[in-house]
Amino acid sequence: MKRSSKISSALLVPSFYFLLLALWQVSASLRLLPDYLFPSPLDVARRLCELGSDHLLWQSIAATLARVVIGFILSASIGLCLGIAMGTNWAVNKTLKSFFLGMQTLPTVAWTPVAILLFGLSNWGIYFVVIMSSVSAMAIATADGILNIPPIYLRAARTLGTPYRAMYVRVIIPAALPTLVTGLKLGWTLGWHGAVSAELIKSTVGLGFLLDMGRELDDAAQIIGIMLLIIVFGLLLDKFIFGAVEHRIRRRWGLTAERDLRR
Amino acid sequence: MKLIIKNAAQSYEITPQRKFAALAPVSLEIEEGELVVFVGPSGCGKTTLLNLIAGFIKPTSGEILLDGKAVEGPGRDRLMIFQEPALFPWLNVIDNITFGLPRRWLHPAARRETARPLLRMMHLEDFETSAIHELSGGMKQRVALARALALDPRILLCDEPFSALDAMSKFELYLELQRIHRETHKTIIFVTHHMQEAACLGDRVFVFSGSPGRVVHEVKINLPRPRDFNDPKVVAFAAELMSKLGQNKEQRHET
Repeated sequence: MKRSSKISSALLVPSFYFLLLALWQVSASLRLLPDYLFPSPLDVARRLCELGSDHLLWQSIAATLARVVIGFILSASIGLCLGIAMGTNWAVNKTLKSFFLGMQTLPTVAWTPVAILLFGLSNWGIYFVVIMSSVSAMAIATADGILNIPPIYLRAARTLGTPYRAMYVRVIIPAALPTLVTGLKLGWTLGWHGAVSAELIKSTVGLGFLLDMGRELDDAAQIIGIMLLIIVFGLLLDKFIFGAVEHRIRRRWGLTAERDLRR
Repeated sequence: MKLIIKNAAQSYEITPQRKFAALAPVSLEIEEGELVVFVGPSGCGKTTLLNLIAGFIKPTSGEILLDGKAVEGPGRDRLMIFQEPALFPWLNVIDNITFGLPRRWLHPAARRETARPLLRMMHLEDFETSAIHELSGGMKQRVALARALALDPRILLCDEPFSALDAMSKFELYLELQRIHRETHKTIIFVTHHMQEAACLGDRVFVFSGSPGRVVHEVKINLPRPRDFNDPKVVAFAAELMSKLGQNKEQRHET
């Protein structure tokens, strides 16, 4: 019983996507809209293959990934430091939190004009957009993680004679880790949004650039193909890197439902 | 080593005019190697006195002397274990146990080596590298005990450590605590609201009563060890403790 339900749940997601593709293919073959506006999945696949035989697609994927990774590392370093300051100092938290919450209401693409003014067309402009779109989420998550540490951990560590300066490394950061990883995951997604938004407006290579190129060439197949690529990359990285790490940590820290059922 | 509590009292200011007396002045002496129990209903000041001994709070008046020296704050010579085991989930069992050991000069492997005898003593050998979430409630509390004992404190302070456990784990840990006491000769101060637990564990039991919290009786329990929780003699002593608390309440109502 359990085995068969496991198999059917493993088939559930692929069959959903298969159905979605089939639906798309059928509606496209009805030809209600011209195929340069509404391409079929086969058109999109063909266009992606063409792009793939050219170097531009691979260069673009590499360029976008590099931008997100570099921007994310910078943003995470800044976000963690600010978050720790917020989590340990009442006044810093009070002031920065309202500021960051305000910043989060700004769409990521809104940072692009400033980036162009400040950095011209260099990669630094894109890093800047990535940082500005993701840093506030990471700082807030870090601060919340620290502020929500069960006080009993701190009390136990203090009783065991942990010196004050060792508290951060030995207790505060590890205790806040589950929330912290959730924040990093959110930051990665927002950084990815930021990079593609910035590339749309100001770059000569990158997935965002290919999207914009598709618009200029009236090539809906390319636009949809690149959109799909962005979704697939986002999903894969989320599932296999951040999702996996988050799941392991939550399990170990005893925060998953699985443990509650067993008790 | 001798712990002397001299007229120690604790009160909190609710408003500048009104004060709440958590603990009326109390004096008692605890000898080295004694297993002493503070028992009483909630709000009777037993945990307050334990926190005073631990140094988490300072007495409003009076003093707490350890070997003639006043207790100024928390120290590694007096370790407390809590109702929650408060283990660190990011460390495995042995690294939790060695958490409090000085790190500057002890290599991790050497640190773990010092914890091995404790693991054996607490019957945790097979769980050395287990994650905390894999342990049962009773085992977690054993690890917490081992973590405190690893620092070789002179006094072990226990703040209702077994009250959240199931009955079977409790019975085991009552025997375990008595064995630890016999093998290590540590001074143990155990706080509980459970009379039978007090009668089972204590060499001496101080019965506390509330508003304001104070000691109303001191009872010596001369039963042989190890004592079983359900031994009729233990049950009889528990009844005696209960009646002492009851008498005290009646007297207060009459006056």
